[in-house]
Amino acid sequence: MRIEYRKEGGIAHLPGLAKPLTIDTAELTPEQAAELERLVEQSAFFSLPATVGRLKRGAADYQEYHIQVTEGDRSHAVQVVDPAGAEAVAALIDFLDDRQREAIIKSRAARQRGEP
Amino acid sequence: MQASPGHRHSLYCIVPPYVLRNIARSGKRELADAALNTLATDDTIRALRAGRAAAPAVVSSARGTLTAEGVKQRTIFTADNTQNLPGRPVRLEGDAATGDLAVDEAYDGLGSTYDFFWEAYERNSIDDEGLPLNATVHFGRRYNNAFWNGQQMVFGDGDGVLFNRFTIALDVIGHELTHGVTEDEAGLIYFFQSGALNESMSDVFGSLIKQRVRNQTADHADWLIGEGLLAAGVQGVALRSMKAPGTAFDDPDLGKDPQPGHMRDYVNTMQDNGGVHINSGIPNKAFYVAATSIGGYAWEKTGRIWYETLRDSRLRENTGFRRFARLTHMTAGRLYGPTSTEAKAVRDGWAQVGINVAALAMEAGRP
Ligand SMILES: [Zn+2]
Repeated sequence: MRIEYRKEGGIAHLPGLAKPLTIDTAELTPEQAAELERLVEQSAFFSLPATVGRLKRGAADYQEYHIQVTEGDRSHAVQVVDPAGAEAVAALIDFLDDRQREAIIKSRAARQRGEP
Repeated sequence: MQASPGHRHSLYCIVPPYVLRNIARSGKRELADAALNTLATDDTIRALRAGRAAAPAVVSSARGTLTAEGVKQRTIFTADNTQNLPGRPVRLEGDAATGDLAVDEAYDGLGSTYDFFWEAYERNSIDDEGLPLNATVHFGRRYNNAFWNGQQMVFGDGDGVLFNRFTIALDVIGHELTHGVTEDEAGLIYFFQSGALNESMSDVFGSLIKQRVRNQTADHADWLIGEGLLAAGVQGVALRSMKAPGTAFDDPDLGKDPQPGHMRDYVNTMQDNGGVHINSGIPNKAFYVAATSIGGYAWEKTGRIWYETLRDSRLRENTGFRRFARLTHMTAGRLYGPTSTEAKAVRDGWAQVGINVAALAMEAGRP
């Protein structure tokens, strides 16, 4: 299973965080891969409408989450806005944000060790 | 307009009702369904007000006169790290401090913001009719953001890696609440230049609220937005700098502050609702230049000019930078005289970011 994830918006435009993140379950630990598959299943991702969450008039600084899941020959893209509301969708976004954070912590540690 | 498949949504999610109606009438099926869905509920501040008016008796007897001028009505909720809004009320108006930092910072920050608008401009809350102020803290899990959902403020705890809790910065609290004021007065559409003006309004008054609490004159203010928000280890001082747009952060992970401070560097993009948090650097800088040139407390004259412009009926919901600049110049002329140092300072502020209001006025005056 492959997930493409991109976040934008929020109170500031942070170019580093707006970059897309691609996650392949084949590259995750077995536990993480199982967790991700469970979250996709639990959110009924392939049955979700193209947009989840509904903005009220005048809303500002909310984040938008673009998630595309590809598994075998099926692929589905969903856009979520704050607040995600549905708990299962929020949990999936939390998982993806955790992976992004892991990558940042890793690259920061590498820099501190003096690696490029 | 071209947009990637993943981007379509943002074209209709916050567009005004008349556009939605047009989409619903003539657009593609998928767009039309979404437009109708958006139209189904009235989420405006006015609807909120009407709801309040329907059942005021209990609240007002328990809490004093709800609409009394200059009287705050704050409620802080906690989402208990879920995404449910508004969540559970934890501190009502008049309640003692809770010991929960985020709750107490939100309570105090809302108070400072209310007091600012009341004491500086005699504005009674978001709608100038005493609308109660609601904020939710502890939203989401490690949530790295704060937002205005159209009816209330929402603050995340931050993840401690990139961001600290979002209530830490008073100007961010003021920024969010000002989105409510802007929506009520002008409804500046949250895309492209009108969206960047909407953002700039929030930065301007967010910064002025902080300056007033610190008792700072324009030359002593730092003009930063969100100082203290970036976590230890991030290379940067704040989210934005009104004084020097583009210099607030430069971090290997967050990237570099993308804000321009001049029209020649205007960023054309579909990201960030057409660069609303990017190009806001241009009107932010114009305000900074005008305020430091006028001198003294920036909320007294420059803030007043911007506030009166926000209330001006000629400020349409799709107003761009040039029209807004011209309106601030006209407002400065109306308040302080067309040849006053204040009007000149406003003109100079815009000139320094590449917008010539004098030439615009001549254009407008031509038959
Ligand atoms: Zn904003």
